[in-house]
Amino acid sequence: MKILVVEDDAETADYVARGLTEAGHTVDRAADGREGLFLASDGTYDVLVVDRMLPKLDGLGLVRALRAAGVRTPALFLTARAGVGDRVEGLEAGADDYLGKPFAFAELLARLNALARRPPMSAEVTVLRVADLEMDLLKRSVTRAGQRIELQPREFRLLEYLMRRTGQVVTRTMLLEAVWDFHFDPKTSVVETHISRLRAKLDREGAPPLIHTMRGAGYCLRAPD
Amino acid sequence: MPPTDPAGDRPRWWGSTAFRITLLHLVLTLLGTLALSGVAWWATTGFALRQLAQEVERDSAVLVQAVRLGGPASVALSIEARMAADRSGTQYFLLAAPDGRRLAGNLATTPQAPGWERLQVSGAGVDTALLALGTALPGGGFLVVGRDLAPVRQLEGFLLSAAGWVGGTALLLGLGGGLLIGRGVTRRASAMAAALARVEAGEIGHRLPVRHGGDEFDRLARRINTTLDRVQGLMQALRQVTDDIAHDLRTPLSRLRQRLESALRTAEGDAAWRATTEGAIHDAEQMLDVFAALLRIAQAESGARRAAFVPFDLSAVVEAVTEVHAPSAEARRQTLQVNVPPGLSILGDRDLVTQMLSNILDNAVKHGRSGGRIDVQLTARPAGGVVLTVADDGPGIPAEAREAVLRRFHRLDAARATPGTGLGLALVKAVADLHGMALTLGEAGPGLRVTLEMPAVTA
Repeated sequence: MKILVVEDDAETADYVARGLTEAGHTVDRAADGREGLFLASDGTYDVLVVDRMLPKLDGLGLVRALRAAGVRTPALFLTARAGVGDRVEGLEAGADDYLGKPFAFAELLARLNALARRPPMSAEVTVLRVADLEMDLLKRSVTRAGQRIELQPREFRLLEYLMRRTGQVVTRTMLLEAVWDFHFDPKTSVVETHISRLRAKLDREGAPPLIHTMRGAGYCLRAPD
Repeated sequence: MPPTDPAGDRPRWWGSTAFRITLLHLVLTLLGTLALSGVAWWATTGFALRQLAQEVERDSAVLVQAVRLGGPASVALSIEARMAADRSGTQYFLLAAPDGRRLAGNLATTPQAPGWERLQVSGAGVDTALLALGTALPGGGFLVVGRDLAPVRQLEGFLLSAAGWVGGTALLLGLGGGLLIGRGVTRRASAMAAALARVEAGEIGHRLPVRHGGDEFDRLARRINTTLDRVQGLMQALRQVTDDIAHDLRTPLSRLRQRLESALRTAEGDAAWRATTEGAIHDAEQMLDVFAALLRIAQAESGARRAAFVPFDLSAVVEAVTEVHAPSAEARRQTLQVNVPPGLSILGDRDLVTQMLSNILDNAVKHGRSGGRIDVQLTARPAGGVVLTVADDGPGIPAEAREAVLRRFHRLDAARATPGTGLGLALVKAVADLHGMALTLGEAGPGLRVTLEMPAVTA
């Protein structure tokens, strides 16, 4: 994946760039907003990591300018300004995700992966399939190997989120945001509890598990090899 | 001694606004007096002159008629008689024969032509101006009737001096009054400036003097005083927060330091170092949690979020929050009784309200009795608005401590053993205030009952 990191703090930029490179991505760096806009304008990047407060052109302005120029590259704001309202402002400017500093690197990586591989918005998808697991979005029903599985509404939302990101690591924070609409950490084991309940409902005797726990990162739903 | 004015502009009465206003007022008054005097002048002296002219005309007409009836001789007698009767000596006559000889009268000069004329009379201790009317008599001869203008001149003089006195008095009174008012205003403004200077110099509790009159100065002073109260309150809150932060972060920081130091001394092997690093990350995360909570409280308290208020489904939020805390309640074998009718909305900041409710639930689960019961109830009031109550059956909060627990970092002694930042209820209070919700901590007999009365949606 080709990633552009626009960040003026050299240490943070090093940290992010090194981590992403270790994870096998190609990383370009820009130290100010104008340079970032220049590099991002040709649209060859898979995803952008943008600081909110940048010299010359701030992050909001950068993303707005890109969107105005028709560049649709997914962008993630990585910023110390993570107050209530800042996130909304960032998303309204045209960013696709928002992550407050300080952050865990695994969180950033998971979110970038999710952004870059986000399927194009298509309303036509009505059935999600992973191995023998099937979710009908219209009938709101889930079956595994043809057998119907009863899910609570929240469990359904959780499973849908995981199935739409098959093979990707999904963090606890991402789940809290998407499934419960919590933009802070309530310090409870709600995600773990729901995942284990979901596992109990999905897993069958003798069949390989579908939901995997990625230690220190999150969860991943994928078909058995 | 009042502190010196940093701007260096000592108050000068002649530079004061009040004085300038008085001066302007004075000039306008003087102009008014002048205009009035002008009109009075024109009316009075004009009237006196016209009166004089009428007298002259009447006399003249009578005498001419007499000439016509009785001839010049009888008129001469009549003139002599009039002159004898005129004690004030303001009447002047001349009856001239056709050859120019004076037949009667006290005027020497003969006017050249009939009609109005101003004559100057001098000699024999008299030096005055006359208003005279000359008339050619039937059958030759000439009659002049005149009146002394001195009374009119006198009137003019009187008017002038009266105007002078009035003007002068107005000027003096105006100036004096201006000085007095100016000094009064300047004194009060200086008192306010001095009081503000003391506040500026660090006496933050000092307030502006307020008299009981309630004039504009008092209103201004009162307004400034309430502003100062607010500023002082904010400063105290800020100082409280910084003190609290310093105090509360010192503990985890020292713990972090101890952990690292002891690892440096004794740790051997990757596993030990790994454990130390993980512990350090955990400590750092705790401190970051404190900061995040403080920032949220500050945001809620600033009131800036009010602009972003939107109506949202409170029922859904309450359900999500109870669901999120259900595992923790389960771990403590608590029964979570939730009674939330669907579709109740309020106007507000969804994120902050979610966090607030999460903190209330977290509090109930942590401090409720293990194996006990937690009641969450949302009800719509018939009069509009909704009420949320969360009750646990734990030890509760003693009545005298209920206000204190809403402050930052305040933790009851009994709660010190449980993990937490001591900011949870402070955030609840800040968010409730931001939304205009009434927050009550009450007795659930036993246990704590948190009641939030939320205003109706008025979007």
